Amino acid sequence: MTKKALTATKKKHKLSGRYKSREREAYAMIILQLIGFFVFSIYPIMWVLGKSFFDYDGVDQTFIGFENYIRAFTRDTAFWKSVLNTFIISYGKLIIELPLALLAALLLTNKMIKGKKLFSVIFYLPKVTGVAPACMIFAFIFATVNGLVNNALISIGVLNEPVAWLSSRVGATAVIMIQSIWGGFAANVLYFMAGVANIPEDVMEASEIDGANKVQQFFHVTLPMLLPVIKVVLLLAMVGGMQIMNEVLLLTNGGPGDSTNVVMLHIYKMYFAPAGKPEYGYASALGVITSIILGIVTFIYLKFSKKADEVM
Amino acid sequence: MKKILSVALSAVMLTGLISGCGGNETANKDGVTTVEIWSGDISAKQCWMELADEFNNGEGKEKGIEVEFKFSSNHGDEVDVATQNDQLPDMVAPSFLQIAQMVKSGDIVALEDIEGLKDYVANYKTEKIEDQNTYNGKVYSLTTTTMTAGLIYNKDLFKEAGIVDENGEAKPPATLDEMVEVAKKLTNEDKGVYGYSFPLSFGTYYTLWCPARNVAEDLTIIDYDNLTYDYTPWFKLFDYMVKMRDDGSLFPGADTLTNDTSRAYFSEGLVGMMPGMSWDVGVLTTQFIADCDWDVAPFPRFNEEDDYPTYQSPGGLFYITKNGAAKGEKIAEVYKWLTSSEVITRFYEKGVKIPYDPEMLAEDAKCDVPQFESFTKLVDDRYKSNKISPKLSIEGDNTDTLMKKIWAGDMTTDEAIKDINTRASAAFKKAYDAGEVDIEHIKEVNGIQ
Repeated sequence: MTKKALTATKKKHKLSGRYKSREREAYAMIILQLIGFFVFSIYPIMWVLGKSFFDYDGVDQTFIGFENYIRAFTRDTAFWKSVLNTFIISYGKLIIELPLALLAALLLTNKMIKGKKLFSVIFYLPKVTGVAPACMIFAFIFATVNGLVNNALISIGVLNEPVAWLSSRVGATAVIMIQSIWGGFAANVLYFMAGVANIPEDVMEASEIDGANKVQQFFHVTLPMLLPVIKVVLLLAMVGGMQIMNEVLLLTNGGPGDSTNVVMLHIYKMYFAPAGKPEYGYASALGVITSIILGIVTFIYLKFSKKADEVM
Repeated sequence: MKKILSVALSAVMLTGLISGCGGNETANKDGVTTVEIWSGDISAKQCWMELADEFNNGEGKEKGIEVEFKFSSNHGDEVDVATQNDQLPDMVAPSFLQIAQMVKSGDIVALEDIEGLKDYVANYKTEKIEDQNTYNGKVYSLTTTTMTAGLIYNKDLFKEAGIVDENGEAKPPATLDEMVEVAKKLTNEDKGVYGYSFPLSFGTYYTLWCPARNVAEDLTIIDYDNLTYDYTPWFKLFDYMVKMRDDGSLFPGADTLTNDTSRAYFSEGLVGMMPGMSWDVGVLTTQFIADCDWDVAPFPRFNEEDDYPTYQSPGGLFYITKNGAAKGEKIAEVYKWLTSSEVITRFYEKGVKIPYDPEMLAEDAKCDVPQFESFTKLVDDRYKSNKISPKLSIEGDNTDTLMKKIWAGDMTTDEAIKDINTRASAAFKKAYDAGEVDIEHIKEVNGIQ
């Protein structure tokens, strides 16, 4: 339909009561969602932005301008260390999580594999287990005394004495990554499965006819065709990864020392457990800065991943 | 049809929204006034429910009052939500920060402003009322109970290791150096027994600061004349935990050990000593029932001749909300009952709460739990629980984080002391220069000349 014809149709419909009635129905349907969006998303964002310019302890507030931001950029080295830790933990685990999810997706979409439904349920179970009980279980598994891992490794002779997994930076980081991968890879499996299912069969058949083996098919057909899905999965993982907190809080509380302290935990501690009085204003400023960092990361990622959209 | 459906759907969703915002109804059925009380004190729930039952069938029935308790481990959050929605019950037990806010907003009411309570408050052992319950010169709550802290020790392990007095009874250490030696003697790695358990992942406040409060006059020394802070005693105390870890006499994995896990290992007889609060009596007699003979002693000091009072924290603090205040004399009667000798005595006899003022106990009061009596003996009138300190914004790591860094070997104790002293003193000077600290008032409350 041409633009002129569309405008004419719109004008014609605008005059009709039926059009107006449909418009009202549509607004009635979405109004509650909109109210929810403004109350639970826009208002809290505005609140945080506003409070970031105040020294606010929950009772009294004083306008201090950009002082919170100056403090964050010039004096709070622990915050920037937590940002670095977040990148290491959240993005480092993707090196294992994404290939693992892709492998699982390929297996679950392979016609020759039996028991696919059972495996799908098993892979998805960690996703529906609460983070708190899961972390408690992992803490027991990797406990220094009577921990499952230590007991198993000692019994088969790999270790002579128990290892304090959560008492070293490397060990604690590894345990957090393992728990996070265990709890999160199922969602990526589903995304990849949907992507693999969308690959046209005739493309795969054509590659077979051309003499490609399974490995060549994967690297030259499957993987390129999955690029749009990989792009989305990576983006979701990057955004979600910056928000990691519960696993760290429950497993190590940022320790040993502050070697696994992540940015959301740092902000949380500013709100609830600072040295002195609560610092809601400063925590709000840190939240704003974190959002900007995430925005920059996302922008850079989207800019460099444009080519993935050209595949389909 | 579509129009009717869309309107109906919107109406259903709106009803759900609005029903959640329903106002607080004053329960008043058949001439009986219901007083609703919220609390987060789960450990005392059973006792409170029994007492409420007796009140409702006795004194409450005569006066036309019924008490309803509601307990929740998310009490603080629930009070916040109820405050914002104007749905507070008649009484709550909010946190220290919430109290300040609620006093400011008028959501909790001074006791003297309630009909029937003015004289009661004036006569209620006024010298014992803490400054933290008083705002703008008015009393908002009365203290009934307290908790204290000390060293919990396994008497069986002490006897096995020959650490006994002349009567053959287990002899707990009197100094911190002795504690390190005793912990080493008690440790038997082959049996999985360790001399001391330190649940560092639970933080250091309840696992070290409170139990060991008696090791010095002040764990943090504040110089109000020179506007400086000195955390040396606090970090030197922490050093003893590090010493025991390096000796191999600390239960392994301290930095990931939770308080409950620590208690569980103690109850299994695998730990010689651990820091304890008076609430641990209930834990070790009902939750992780100790499979050993155990008792409580004052925490070891730096020097044998030191004699400082043990930690205390006044409790039993209920606050009357503006909704409760509207019930006038009825709420006053309930408040008098909550703070009565009968209630205080019952809590003591059940080994649940220590009376803040032992004179409030009935003459024939006797505690059923021996270890609770040991904790009660630690209560020392010399301890000033109403001491206040400047409210500062100290940038950077707090003492907990610094101690965890020391534990991880990321810094030494001396570096940590220098770091926190510098930052805290700078924050003190800044707050004083900005007029945010009333030193004269602090000195007056704390009894400093």
